[in-house]
Amino acid sequence: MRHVCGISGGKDSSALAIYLRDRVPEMEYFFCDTGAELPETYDYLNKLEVVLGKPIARLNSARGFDHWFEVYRGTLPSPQMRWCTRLMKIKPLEDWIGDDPATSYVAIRSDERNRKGYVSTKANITAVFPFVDDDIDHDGVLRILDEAGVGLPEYYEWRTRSGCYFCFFQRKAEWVGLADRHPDLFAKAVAIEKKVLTQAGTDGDASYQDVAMKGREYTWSQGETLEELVSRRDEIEERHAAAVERAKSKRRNIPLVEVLSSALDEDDDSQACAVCHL
Amino acid sequence: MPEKLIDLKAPRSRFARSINVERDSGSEAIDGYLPVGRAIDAISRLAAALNQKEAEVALSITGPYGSGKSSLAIIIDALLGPANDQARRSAERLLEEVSPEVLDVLREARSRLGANEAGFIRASATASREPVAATVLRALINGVDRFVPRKGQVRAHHTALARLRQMQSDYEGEGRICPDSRLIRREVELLSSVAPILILIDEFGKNLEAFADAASDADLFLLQELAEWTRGVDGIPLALVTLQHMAFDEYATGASAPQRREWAKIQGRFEDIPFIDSPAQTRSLIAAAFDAPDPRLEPAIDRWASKQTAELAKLGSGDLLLDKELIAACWPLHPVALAVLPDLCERYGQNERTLFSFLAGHEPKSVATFLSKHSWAKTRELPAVRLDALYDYFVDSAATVAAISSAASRWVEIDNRIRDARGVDDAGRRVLKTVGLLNLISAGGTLRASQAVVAFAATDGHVGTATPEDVIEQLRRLEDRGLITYRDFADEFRVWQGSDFNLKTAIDVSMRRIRDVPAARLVEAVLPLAPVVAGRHSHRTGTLRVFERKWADEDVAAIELLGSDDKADGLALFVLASEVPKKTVIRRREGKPLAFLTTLDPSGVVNAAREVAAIDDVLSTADDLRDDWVAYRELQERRLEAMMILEAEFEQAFGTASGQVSRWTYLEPAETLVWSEIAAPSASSALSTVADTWYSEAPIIHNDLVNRHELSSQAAKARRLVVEAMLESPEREGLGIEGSGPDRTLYLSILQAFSLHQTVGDAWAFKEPSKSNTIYPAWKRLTDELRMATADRKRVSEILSALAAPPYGIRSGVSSVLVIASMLMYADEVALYEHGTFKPVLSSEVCERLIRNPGNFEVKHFASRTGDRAELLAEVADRLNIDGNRRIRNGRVRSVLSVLSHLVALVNQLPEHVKRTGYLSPAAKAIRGELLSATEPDELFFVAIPRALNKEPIAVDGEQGNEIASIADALAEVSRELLGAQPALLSDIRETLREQFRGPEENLRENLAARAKDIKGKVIDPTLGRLVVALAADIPGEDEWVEYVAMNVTGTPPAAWTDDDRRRFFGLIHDVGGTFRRIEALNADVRSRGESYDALRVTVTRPDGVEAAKLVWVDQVRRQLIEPILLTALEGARAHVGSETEARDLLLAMLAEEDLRAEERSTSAASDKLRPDAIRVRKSEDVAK
Repeated sequence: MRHVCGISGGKDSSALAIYLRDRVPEMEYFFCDTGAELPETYDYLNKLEVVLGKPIARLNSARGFDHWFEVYRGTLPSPQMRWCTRLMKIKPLEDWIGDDPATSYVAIRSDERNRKGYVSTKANITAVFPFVDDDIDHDGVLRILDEAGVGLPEYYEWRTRSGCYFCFFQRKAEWVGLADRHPDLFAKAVAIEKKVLTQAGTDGDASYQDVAMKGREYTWSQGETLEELVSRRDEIEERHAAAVERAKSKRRNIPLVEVLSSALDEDDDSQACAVCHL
Repeated sequence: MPEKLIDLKAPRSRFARSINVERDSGSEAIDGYLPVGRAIDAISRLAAALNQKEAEVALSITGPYGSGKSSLAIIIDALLGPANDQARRSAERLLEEVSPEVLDVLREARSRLGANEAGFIRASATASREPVAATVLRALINGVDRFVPRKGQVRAHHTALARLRQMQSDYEGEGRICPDSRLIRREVELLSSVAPILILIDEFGKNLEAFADAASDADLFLLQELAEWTRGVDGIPLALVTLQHMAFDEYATGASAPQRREWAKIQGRFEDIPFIDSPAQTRSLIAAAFDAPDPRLEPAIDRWASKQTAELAKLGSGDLLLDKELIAACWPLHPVALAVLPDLCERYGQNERTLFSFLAGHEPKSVATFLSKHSWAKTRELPAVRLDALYDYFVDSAATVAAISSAASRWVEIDNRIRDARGVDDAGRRVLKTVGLLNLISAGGTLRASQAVVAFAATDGHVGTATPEDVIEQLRRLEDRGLITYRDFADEFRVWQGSDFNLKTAIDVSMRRIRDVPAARLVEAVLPLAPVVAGRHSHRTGTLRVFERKWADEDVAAIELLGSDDKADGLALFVLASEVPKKTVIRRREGKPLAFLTTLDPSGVVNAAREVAAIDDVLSTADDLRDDWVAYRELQERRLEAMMILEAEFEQAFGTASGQVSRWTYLEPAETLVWSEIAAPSASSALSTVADTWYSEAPIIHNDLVNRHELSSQAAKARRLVVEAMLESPEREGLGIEGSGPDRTLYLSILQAFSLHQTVGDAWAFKEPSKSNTIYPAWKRLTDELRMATADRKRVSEILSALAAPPYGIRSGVSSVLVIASMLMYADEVALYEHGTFKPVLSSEVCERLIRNPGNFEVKHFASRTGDRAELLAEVADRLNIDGNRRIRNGRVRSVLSVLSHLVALVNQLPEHVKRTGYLSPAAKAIRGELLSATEPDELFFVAIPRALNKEPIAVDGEQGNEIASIADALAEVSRELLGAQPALLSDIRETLREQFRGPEENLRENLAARAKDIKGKVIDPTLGRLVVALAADIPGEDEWVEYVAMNVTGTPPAAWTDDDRRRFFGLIHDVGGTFRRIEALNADVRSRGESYDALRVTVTRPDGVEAAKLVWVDQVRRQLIEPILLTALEGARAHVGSETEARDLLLAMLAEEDLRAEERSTSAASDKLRPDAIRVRKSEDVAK
């Protein structure tokens, strides 16, 4: 029986990994690399590896987003067609586990026990939920991270979820954050939205504007292109600031991470990705 | 035996056939002609014009088909003939009978022009599709020929005739020299001195159509000029009459707007006479068409007419203008039948022609037949011809006419409904027909299918319709069965629902609209040809070779060969001509075969296609057609029929059995335009010959699954599995693919069949195919393409399209596998780039993308098998322990790529810190920079790396010897340095920890962990707090523990440190170490009590005010050793200063001073570590591996 614990780069799965470090010595940690993670995530994984005292297996690194973008010729993933999760998260994991019987540890917290994490449909994989079983909630997670000396991933300053930098589940304020913190990644997200390959090389145009979903205007963020979105950044920031205030006024002495999260949740109520955002 | 009615009253016999003014002139044609109102009118206007000095005598008579225009032409011709002409006498008699005053005017005009005796030169002709000049010429010959000249004019007459005949033979002869308008004009002028001239052209519309086709303006101007001559004082004695169906400009729908205006203008020169009768005129005509009845019958007819008139009056049919006399004269026509007949003839027949044949013809349902069938019985009421009989007549004898008539769709619908009405008895059917016919006319007013009119019209005394009540009952039943509907608002019954779409006109208009569309485009639109497979060739080679088929004209602008972008393997042009349009062919690179099929006479196909195209045009352009399903269906049926004709014509001209009239010609694959012909029975066979010639080097492939342009998902999966096996297990037999699935089949049919995968020694490997293999030519081309890419990269998609083009014609499903095999085979010489980025490893995901988007990939070949380059590779491989004989993944042996991939992997696996730190030797930094930024492997290895080491680049054919070894040495040294950098950093961190925490060499970790546990919980400083937790943490492995501790000082693990992090760490650890020791000291104060040794806390306040506190452990043994030294020193000091207290203070102060100095030394030692140049590069052979 193998014991596996997936780390998404977010706080819950990281805390779970640390929590289980001494409890399940034979644990194998893995991270499904989309090749499009935030730099903060990679930094954080480095820290975690130190804390966990063993390497985190990077799955899928050869077939990341860029690969599928080429294979799909610019057909972008969307909430309706989430090939990203299927090809870059679920399949690599299933391939990695193979047909061995395995226990998969899922980082659903006790205060969100109704949320559906990804549970493989493969018969040989059994999912367990230690945080739910041991009644560890949001504060518990923060405490674990703090005590281990890793703290929160740095992106928590402006974004509450792990995952690809162009994740279409991102809230509008988070897009603005990306534009501020990582202008290069934001520019790449804009290019992908336009189905243009930024690394087309010196020798020509390798865009897929005329190939996939020709004529169909797909935008990462609902209802507007990234360029349009960022052009009304003041409005978005203002709204976000107001939401932060509202969230703060409800209770006192709440950690910023929570304030930020509920303020962003106010932005939209679209479901987050159950695989990437644990 | 009872008398037949026909013997008592009979219709006059009239001509009921079409008239030709050239053929039929003469008295027989005129005898029996009934000059109708409009004819009299036309003659009257001609006569009046001839009589006036300054009037134009140019008439254009416009009227519908069958309205008797041609008969009029004959009358006019006769009236202007010589006095001794029998026809003229007949015509005059006829005219005298109807309108003597017109005849008087005409006679006067004839006399005035001096043509009473000899008559006019009657130049009459029926036009066909030809220039006006040709028709006029023919007319003149006809006229001159018939004209008998007076003495003295014989000669002029004779020579004129000779000249005209000459012109005509020129025109009809080989050269088809069109008569010169000027010459004709002169002849007219000359002839006009002999006698006045009548130029009469029947069917003039044909001239106009010809003119619209050819658009020779000069032609119509002849007409205009002639018209002008007829007027004015000095006008020559000339009368011009044209007869046509439509106004001039309506013949010009295909012409441009200015042209049409021109035509309208020319018609303006003519006096236009519409040749249409009013219904009243027609009814008079009908009355006149019967001979006077036998007197015995007259009373009966009179009674009958009275009754009908009374009935009509009840209906309030004043607008029908039917009086009793007329009704009586027209017996046996029922008044309602009489009322609708003119309209019916005009709309659904050919006017008078139909009318007369209905009255006098011998068809089963004609009036004449009716009269001869019924006998006279004095006691019974006279029978009458009613609407149902009219209906039957028009269905029986005029159905074909109806099809071309303008209201055909309405007709068809009504006809269909009545025909399909099941279970209706004869009486019901008669009523139904009555309603149907009234619907057909649908004139509104009284004449509609109202209950009263139907009852009046259909009540005939027969069973079921004996009384008006019977008829009304029939109507009710028909309505119940849904056969007719009553339309409230119009107060009429209807069997008809459709619109009034005019099919005939619409098709004519469309026909004219598409007149200028080139034939090929037309045929392409209606009969596009499906691609055809070159059967024999496909079967032989295993590749389905498909030729696209297109239509072409003889004068096609340009024909370009198909190229690599086209899916088809060749182009077969079906030429609508007997000759191949060879001159218009454009060759191109990688062009595909081109073949032509010509035929002797394509006109059948073209004409049939025009018909279909015209119908299609109507279907797509006529808006009102959408609401008229009858017309729509009618059109559909016509289209079907036209299509069948077209297909038959196609078979005849181009089909499989057309060998006698068609011929295949194709372009040879040579560079120049060389043509060959094929005598082949079928397209498939002929194109197989073409394919054999063009695709002469096509390999033989037996795999339908992948031998395609686009693969099914199953085939794509098989190909992916094979490619993966090619990468994973090239050394295994059959690539280790087992079973008999599609992947195995693919392997067998390509890699094995082409012997690309063979045994080499003990194992299997990729190998070049033998020359005898059918793949060899294509393989050679492929490898040539690779070898040529030394200076510039070559795009993979271009290689694929070279293989797809003749003479190989390999499908991408197969060629992609070939390219990957070649990449594996020549892995040590060929580099692969994606979007310009070098791909060191041909992995399965790279192959996946390569197959999907070959346009994103390029290859480059570098010559590195000899000279300095080869030597450098060998030396470096040696130094770095890259086993030259080891087959590494994907078959790369000692080569640029194998050595480079080692170096690149080396740099890649370095921790982030080492990738960017400045704490390296200049050489290591330079090499690292090149390895991280290079894009071209050969550039990097032979140029950039030597330069980074301050050496000359290695030229392609250089011989430098010594330098090679030193480059290799330096590179090996750099590689060791890079690999050792991170361990060296960790070692430094450990050493610094030991110094700052005053730890022992051995068991440092245990020592520090124990001490950290002691002070845990007493730390306020956050940095120290984290450090204390880290020191005590249960981290497996000494190095990992060191990393963890370091991470807790800087917040970042050392592997990811920037140089700033690194400097910060060594700064912080010094401070934190001091704090740690201070806390430890404070802690000990508390702990010292009750122990077996004393712990003393010594605090020294430095000049800057900072306190240095330390804990000094004083155990019994050391106390005994140190105590005598202390006492001696105290005694010695007191000897110098006197007071014991003073001596103690001085010693204490000076000891503290000493202690401070020692602190400073230790601080500066710590800062030394912060200077990069102070770091010695450690040699550690073991980590270099």
